[in-house]
Amino acid sequence: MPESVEWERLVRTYPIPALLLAAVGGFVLGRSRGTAVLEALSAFAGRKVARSVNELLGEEVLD
Amino acid sequence: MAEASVKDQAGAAVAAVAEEAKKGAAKTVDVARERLQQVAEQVGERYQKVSGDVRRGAEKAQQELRRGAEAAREKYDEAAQRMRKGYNRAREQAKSMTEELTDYVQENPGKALIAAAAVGFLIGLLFRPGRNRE
Repeated sequence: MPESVEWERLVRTYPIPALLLAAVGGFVLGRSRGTAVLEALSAFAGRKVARSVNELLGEEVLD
Repeated sequence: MAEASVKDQAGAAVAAVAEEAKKGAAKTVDVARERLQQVAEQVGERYQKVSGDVRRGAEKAQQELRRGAEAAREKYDEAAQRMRKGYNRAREQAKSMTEELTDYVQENPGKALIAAAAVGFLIGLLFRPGRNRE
């Protein structure tokens, strides 16, 4: 996000509208691309876990 | 001479009969008047009794109506007061919650936005089209 927007100041000035806007954005995203976002998130989490396990064991156990 | 005596006797008899008839008619009229007066008194008494009953019934009904109206008004006042208290309490709670939420958002704007977007995302996920067919 560009620094000129000063989103924190906007959120502090208009807290409830900002929350509503974020919730509506999340709702639209979940409704239209929910499954894809979940798949991406679970793949990201899986890679993170695999990397941690591999680092812990010192060898490439998980892909 | 004898003829005149007979005539007088007949006239006297007729006069006596007429007198008797007159007395009888007068007596009948008196009896009828007395009966009529008795009937009128009875009708008057009945009327007094019936009107008294009707008046007492109307007064009782009026009292019952007044009592019912007072009870209904008391119930309405109680319900209105209860509703007013509930509304005021809910308004106070909503105001307090809004203030707390505002404070939290002003202190943690990023976290609050992410949480709101996550809640919206989950709700959108629940209501996404074609979810029931899966």
